[in-house]
Amino acid sequence: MSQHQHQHQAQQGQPQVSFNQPWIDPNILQQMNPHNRIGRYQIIKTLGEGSFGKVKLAFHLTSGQRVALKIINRKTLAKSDMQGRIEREISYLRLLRHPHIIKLYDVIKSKDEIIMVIEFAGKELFDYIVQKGRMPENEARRFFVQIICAVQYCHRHKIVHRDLKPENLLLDGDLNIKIADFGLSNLMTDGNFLKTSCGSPNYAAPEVISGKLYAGSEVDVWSCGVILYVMLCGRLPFDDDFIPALFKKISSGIFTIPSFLSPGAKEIIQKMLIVDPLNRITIDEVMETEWFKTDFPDYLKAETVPAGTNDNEAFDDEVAQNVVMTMGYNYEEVCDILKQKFVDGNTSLDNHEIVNAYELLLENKNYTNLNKDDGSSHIDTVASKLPPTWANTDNTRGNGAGGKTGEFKQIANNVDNGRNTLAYDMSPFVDNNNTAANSTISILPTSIPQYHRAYMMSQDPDILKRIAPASTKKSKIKWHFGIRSKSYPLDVMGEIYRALKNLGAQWCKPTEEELWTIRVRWKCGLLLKEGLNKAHTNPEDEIGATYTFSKSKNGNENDDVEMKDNTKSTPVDNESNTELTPDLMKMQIQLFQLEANNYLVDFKFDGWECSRNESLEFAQNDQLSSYSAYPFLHLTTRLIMELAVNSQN
Amino acid sequence: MSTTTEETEKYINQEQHKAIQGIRLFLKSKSSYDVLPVSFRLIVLDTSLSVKKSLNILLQNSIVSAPLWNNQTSRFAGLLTSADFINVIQYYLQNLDQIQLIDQLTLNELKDIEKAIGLKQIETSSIPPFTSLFLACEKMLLSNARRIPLIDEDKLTHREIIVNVLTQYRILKFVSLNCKEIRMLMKPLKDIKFVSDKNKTTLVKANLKTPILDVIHILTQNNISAVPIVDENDKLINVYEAVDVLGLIKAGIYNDLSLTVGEALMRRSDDFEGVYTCTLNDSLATIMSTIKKSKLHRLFIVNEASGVVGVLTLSDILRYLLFSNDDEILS
Repeated sequence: MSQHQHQHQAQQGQPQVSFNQPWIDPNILQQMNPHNRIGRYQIIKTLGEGSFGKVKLAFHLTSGQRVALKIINRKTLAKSDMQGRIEREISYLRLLRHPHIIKLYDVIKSKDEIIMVIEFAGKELFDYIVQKGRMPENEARRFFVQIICAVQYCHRHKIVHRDLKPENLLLDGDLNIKIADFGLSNLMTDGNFLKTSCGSPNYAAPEVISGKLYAGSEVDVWSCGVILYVMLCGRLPFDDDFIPALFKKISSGIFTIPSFLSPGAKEIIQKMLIVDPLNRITIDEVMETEWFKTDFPDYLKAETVPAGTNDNEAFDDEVAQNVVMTMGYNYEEVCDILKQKFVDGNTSLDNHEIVNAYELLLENKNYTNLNKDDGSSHIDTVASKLPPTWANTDNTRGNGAGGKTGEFKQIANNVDNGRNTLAYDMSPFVDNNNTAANSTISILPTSIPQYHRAYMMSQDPDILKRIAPASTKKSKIKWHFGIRSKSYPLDVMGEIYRALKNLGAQWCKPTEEELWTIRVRWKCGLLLKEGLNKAHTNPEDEIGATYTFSKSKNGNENDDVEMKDNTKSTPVDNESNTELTPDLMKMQIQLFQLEANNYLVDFKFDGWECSRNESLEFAQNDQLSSYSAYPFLHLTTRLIMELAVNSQN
Repeated sequence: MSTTTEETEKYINQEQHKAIQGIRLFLKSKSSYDVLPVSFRLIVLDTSLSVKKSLNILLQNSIVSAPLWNNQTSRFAGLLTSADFINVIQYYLQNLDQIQLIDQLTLNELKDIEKAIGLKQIETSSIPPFTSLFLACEKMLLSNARRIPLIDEDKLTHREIIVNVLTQYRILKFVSLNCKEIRMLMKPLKDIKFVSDKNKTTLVKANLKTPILDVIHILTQNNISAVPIVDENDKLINVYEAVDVLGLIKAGIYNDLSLTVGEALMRRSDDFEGVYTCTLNDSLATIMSTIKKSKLHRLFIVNEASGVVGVLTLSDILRYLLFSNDDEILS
């Protein structure tokens, strides 16, 4: 049990509240259910569902290190003939290394899925903003600089994010930005991308929402502008609950800037949120502004001016070999392309995959060389099984880099001291620290079900013989509204009419304009005394008798009008006369086309009506509907069941 | 205690007071309906369903309670909660000869059984959806209920409509999302009177080897929703919750009444978030911001040695926010 104790203590120092244990004893991991493993990773729980699929929390089996697994269903990816390209692009993302980009450690490929093993970052910048409201310029600038440097790094390596929004901006334990999903939007089919970006269009550039196919690096500039605005103002520059109105606001590019912003901040936002992408400020120009350069941290200076991406650099065979290894090209092809690019100066190859990969690897190598005296002694033996993390290399990368981690550690220490000695010598509104930073709330590792089972098994290896393990497979019910059909639309309509007839419903004669809409009314007796009596004294049990409204004694040609008249001419006065309790439920059934050969039958509740007109004959409704908690759902279910029976015959 | 000056303490207390006033105003100004999401799923069970089927439906949908509908009277018929399933277990313990009948028991019959043996009945108090949140909380706290159904009437047909069921968690999450004041609740738990008062009573604990039936007995005898489980050094390692009984019945407890709680917990679903702990240094600000992000129903208060010193339930928090008087907050 001392093991548990140790971990619990270690965890208490962490400010995060979500399951925040960075490490689990590999011995315990080995005991956990092998069915919940992917590759060398033990899955603990699902963290959420992103635009690309599920994200799960997992631990590396041999090192015990915490990671996140992003599981991408191949079906959501672009067409199958591009699969090879997609896999290469993901391999390319693996080469990205930047302190403010979520690291991609590993890629596991299976028939149906591509699993990206990525760095775990527990918090979203979004939550931080929501919790704290708008921030002082210094704090916003710190985040902004980290975001811009990461974006610039990716643009330099030919990757545009296209979907920068607060959900993709994560924070690590030291409140440093980690951008997620870089390069993934390129992998989506355009339809998919539009769908996902429509989820929160507030951050999308005008040219993105207007559906222009070409989306270059300018779109990231716009999104960063919106993010900066949100951090400084605590609200969105463009916002409207009504999406078309929101699109209009974004396209007009008109927004207000609060007067409390400094002139520098004001100017940078105005230049980033210019509607015409050609006139919009570039990332490099942003980095040249005085506002941006204020308090610019040293460790990022090394990042932004990378040594050795110079074109005249001597050909590095080791790096070329690496390109062969990581990207899966053959060596001759790599040498040929690199020769054309660097020796012959063929600039048309600037965006060639091999060239990009070579440059990226070369840059990585130069960093590693800078860190030669790293000695690996700093790297925890546990962590060394995974690619070295930036936190480790930062410590020894020149004076600037060392300063970074040191500085944050110091802040963290101050917080800790504050908690232990002066418990509340901090005014909540002056203090810049997240309230969660003072939190000692945590989750008990020993109470995680997987952990508990593993522990019980370590105490008694035979326990599984006595206790059947929990059925991890849950037959999750999928909920759908309406029904879908791939049949010919007129057949579908025919089936619906037949089912309605069998159930004894009435409908209006369809008009030319509304051929795909059926207006129905059903007798739906209610268990209010009068209603019930009426149902009994009205023994219209002529099963299957259906009448369109035009057959009723009024003989009105316009059915729609008649239905309205019916309610109008008999104003329902529930308070005085319970006999008038409505007992006819109206419903609209409509056929929608979702895509070619795929239709949706939608049901809509359309109000109640009284069956005053005795000449209207109804089939006896089924007994159950009288008592159901949800009459509309009940009748809809009856109809769907009837349709299902018919379609089976 | 620390070396805080009296002034800081006074400031913290005043902020706490301001925050609580603000939250009370907020609860009075919002209706129960405001808490509901724009679109949601509600599962209502018909009382003619069998207990066994109802249990499967709850587990399949990862919920722990559901409102009931009586199709004979065409009315709302109370809530099905974990307490009912505990009652089922207790009834059969007293009537072991009837154990074969359990699969056929309907929800209607369950209610009769509960009446017959004088056990706690299905909670039936309800409120209309436009009741103010403050009243909704008050009603819940007074009846010791953890949830309250929102029942409306259809204006045209005069039928009862089950709108939703409001839980204490939903209300507190709503508060934490919408009241900026939660950040001002900086007073540490150790200085809050009701916490220290509550901690004076000793907490009933179990260990992994405690028979599951004893643990269930502790739940009902003390009318609590969770029993902390400690190791031989009195360190908190896990918890057994009333809702865990659902999984226990599903796995067929009647076949094996001698399980220990440690064994019973092996069947807990992987969806279980884990046990939340806090210390006396935490404030309601940190707790409410945790509630904002994570679904939790109580926090165990632990000391440096991971020993349990108390428990803070959602009712405790609500009761403090609603009913604590000025003296209590300011001292």
